[in-house]
Amino acid sequence: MNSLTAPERAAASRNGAQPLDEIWAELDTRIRWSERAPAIVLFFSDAAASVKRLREMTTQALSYNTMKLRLLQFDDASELPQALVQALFSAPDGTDLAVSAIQTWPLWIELYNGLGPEWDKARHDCLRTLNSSRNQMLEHTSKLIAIVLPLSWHRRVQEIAPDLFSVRSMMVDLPHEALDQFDVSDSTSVWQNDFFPKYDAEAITPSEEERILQAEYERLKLLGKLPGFELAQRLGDRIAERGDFHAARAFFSEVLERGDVGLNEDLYCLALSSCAYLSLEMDDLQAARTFVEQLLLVHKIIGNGNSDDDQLAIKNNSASTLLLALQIYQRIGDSGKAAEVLKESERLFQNFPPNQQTSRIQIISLLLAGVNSTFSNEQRLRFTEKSVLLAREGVVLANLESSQLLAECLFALGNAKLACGLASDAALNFIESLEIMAELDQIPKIVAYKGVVLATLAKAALAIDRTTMAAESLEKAIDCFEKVNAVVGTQNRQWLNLLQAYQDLTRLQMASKHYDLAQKNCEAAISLIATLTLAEQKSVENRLAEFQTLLLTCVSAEKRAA
Amino acid sequence: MDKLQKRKLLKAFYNAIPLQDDTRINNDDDWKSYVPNLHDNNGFNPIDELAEAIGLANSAANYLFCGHRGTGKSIELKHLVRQLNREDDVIALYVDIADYLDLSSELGVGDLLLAVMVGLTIAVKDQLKIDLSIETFRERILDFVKSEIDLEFTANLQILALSIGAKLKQDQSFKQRVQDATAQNINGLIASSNKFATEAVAKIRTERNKKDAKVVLVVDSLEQLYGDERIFRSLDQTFYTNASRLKLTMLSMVFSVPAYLPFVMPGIGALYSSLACLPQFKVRTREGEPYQDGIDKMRSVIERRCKEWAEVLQQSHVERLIVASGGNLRILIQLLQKLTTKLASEELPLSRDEPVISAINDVRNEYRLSKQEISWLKAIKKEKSSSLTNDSSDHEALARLFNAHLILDYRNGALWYDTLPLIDELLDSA
Repeated sequence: MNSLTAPERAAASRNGAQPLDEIWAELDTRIRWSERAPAIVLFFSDAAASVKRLREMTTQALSYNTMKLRLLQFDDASELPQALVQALFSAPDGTDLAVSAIQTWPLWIELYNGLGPEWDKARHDCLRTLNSSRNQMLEHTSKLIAIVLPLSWHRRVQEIAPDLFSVRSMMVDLPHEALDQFDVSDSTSVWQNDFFPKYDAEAITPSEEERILQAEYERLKLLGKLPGFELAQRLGDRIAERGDFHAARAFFSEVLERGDVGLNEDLYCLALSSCAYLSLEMDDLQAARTFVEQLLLVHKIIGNGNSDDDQLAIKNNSASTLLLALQIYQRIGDSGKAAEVLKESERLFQNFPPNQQTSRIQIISLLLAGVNSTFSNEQRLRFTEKSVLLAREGVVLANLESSQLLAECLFALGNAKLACGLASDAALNFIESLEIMAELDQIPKIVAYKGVVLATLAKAALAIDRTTMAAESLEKAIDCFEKVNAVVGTQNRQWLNLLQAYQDLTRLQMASKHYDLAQKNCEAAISLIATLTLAEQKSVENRLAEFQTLLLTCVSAEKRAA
Repeated sequence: MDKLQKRKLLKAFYNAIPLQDDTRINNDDDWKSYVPNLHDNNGFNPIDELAEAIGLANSAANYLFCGHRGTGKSIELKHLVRQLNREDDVIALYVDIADYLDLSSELGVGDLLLAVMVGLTIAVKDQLKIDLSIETFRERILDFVKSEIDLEFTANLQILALSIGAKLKQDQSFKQRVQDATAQNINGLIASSNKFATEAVAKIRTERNKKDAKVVLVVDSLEQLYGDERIFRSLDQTFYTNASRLKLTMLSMVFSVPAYLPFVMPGIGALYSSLACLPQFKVRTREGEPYQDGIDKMRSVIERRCKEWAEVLQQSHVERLIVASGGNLRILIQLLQKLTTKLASEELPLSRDEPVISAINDVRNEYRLSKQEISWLKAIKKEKSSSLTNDSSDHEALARLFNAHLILDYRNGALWYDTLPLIDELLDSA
């Protein structure tokens, strides 16, 4: 039977590509709504401009999300599909997916460029790979998996990748003729002119919310009233979210101007800090500086709150302002002012109650951030050492955190020898702290952290060829992670760190021809993998294969030696 | 209903009907979302039929189980294992063979048997907590591939099995070498697998104190095998030409195979003790009239996933989409999700037909068909049968139409075929 009536059939005869605003309306809705599983969408196009436009809109839509869009593009057909596999199963920062802190992200894969049989073969192989890796890919993706292919490939997807085709959410040809007339080189133009898709996609779209908030703000203005904190924050955010930083800053500036007298402190600080952040985003550094210095002044004036809670809130706000000020001074290149900010942070740190671990860590991070700025090497080291000293005065957790941050920071400095010495010192210091406070050494979270710092120390030692020290640190790190696994099982994900430590130690032992020890490590790693769930095992398939190879190499080497 | 409530409702509805997680049943809690007897049709239920065939068999035998992507095969196979394990004289195990085999390359009897033995070893340990003897595994299985695998150093059978499985799945050259090695002595490998399986069954019976129990291994995911003509031929070779070589003396096996297999190889059922097919929900009769019982069943699936569906859509709209889906759950979900994205500016529950028509049009426009495919589909729509072509080179192309859900299988008594109603417009206008 036919599912449509005759008049409907006539309406259905519309053919050709959908307009871009319709495509975007659906894509945008799917991005915002997808919670349990990402939407798999397939776009077909031969027009770079339309692909770029849609990608930019997607990037923009996700820019205020914690999970940023990850773009995979390839220049060389001969590297495919290996390059795709490698990219799919590595974190965006290049680290192994299994040990990355970032576990999921939206994905945009472009395979539409490139002509000729070599590219067709590459696309074919990539689609087969995506089809067979579908479940693994879904585990590490959120919100969206977009795959862009040439127009002529629309039909081939259902042949080459039936599983992918079967779970697609959307599959459309992109329009190209009209779009290519527009200059899309300036991404902000998308947000500032009439090209922005007009659609009425859902009840409260950000634009509709902005319109409602704007109407309320205008009403209050007519009544001579100031907006409340939340209204101002939401309206400013909505304007900024659509990319119009100028308009957002103009709004907050107007709030400041209208509130010369009797402006609520919170609202005043919000408007100032928003103006400073937006100016920084717009690269208007002098304006950013003016706003942040006003803000610093306000913090000084209101520095003493009535209650302890008030004081703590003020200090927390001060810490955020200092971080913003530091960024601005670093961008301007005013190292003197940046140093002043760091000194102020030290002072603030001293005044934080010792039990406010998070805030203290935030300030240590701030100090360490200063190290990677435009300062001279001496200044960098001075601040690094200062942060370590401050951390030592703090509670154990802050101490652990700072050691980890310190080690990373020292690598950035490029002085591996000094890095190793300082990292070792710091690591030993907090390990001593743990020994003194033996009860802390029983807390899995702290033991895990100890393992992480020891593993970092090993990395530092390796960088200066201190292999014995590296091996000892790794052995201790393994003890820590094994202890955590034994107490809380594998669900706390420390097994990832444990596997990494096994791998690093195995390589060290093989380099020193201790094949028997390396073999035991490999076996321990394979046993560990065997205890994981099937999904977890799948996520470390490559690692399992690597351990097997290492194991085989060890056995062969041992046999040869015998 | 204010706009915010409407947005929340639509978002909840959209997420309640996900396209991708319909087979994740791993624990007792997950079974709460299972709809029993969903595929029951006038008292006929393919899972019950399969369970009955296994129960009545006097000796070990092999069975085939097939169904389209998205019809719920894996759930039903896991349900079959639960159902069989409730019987006193049956011990059933489940293996997802995709964990041990690369399903995008050619399949051979040798690597299939090797993967099945690996899967059996791991399933016995994981699901029955019984350790099989590593010596037996070495002696029976490893001997045949030891020239290729130097894995004798570990004393842990599970690790050994996992290692072989991982290599079979990931290392194409290893799989090829195993295929080459076993091709030289395939009968030897079959005999060894048989001995290993026999000893495994004996150990399971002893440990479970059920000396006459039938041991059944459900081998899932082989239906995911796809690719070019070579892979298609290897499937034919393995399950058709070599059907008898897959038979083991003591271990019964249920293989989940592609839905198109009985369509392109109509005689295959006769080579196995039973061929059970999980058809589409029968939402229409052979004459093309709506079949209310099947429509109601599909609606019950939506109801179970989202109780508030009636606040979003009218029953007539849901039923219209169900008919357009041809009874395929995954296509229905695609249509529902597509429609939901169009409802933000509509009054709810939806009163107009236009968004429904638009959703149907959009999903239809995703298909691209060649002249030959249209000609085949028209013939199937008319004849409702599989006797289209005797040319085996066409079978691969027909299998693709199956994979894309353009040919759907139904059952009332006998198996019959029809085309996806969603593409009726395309076929009529061609």
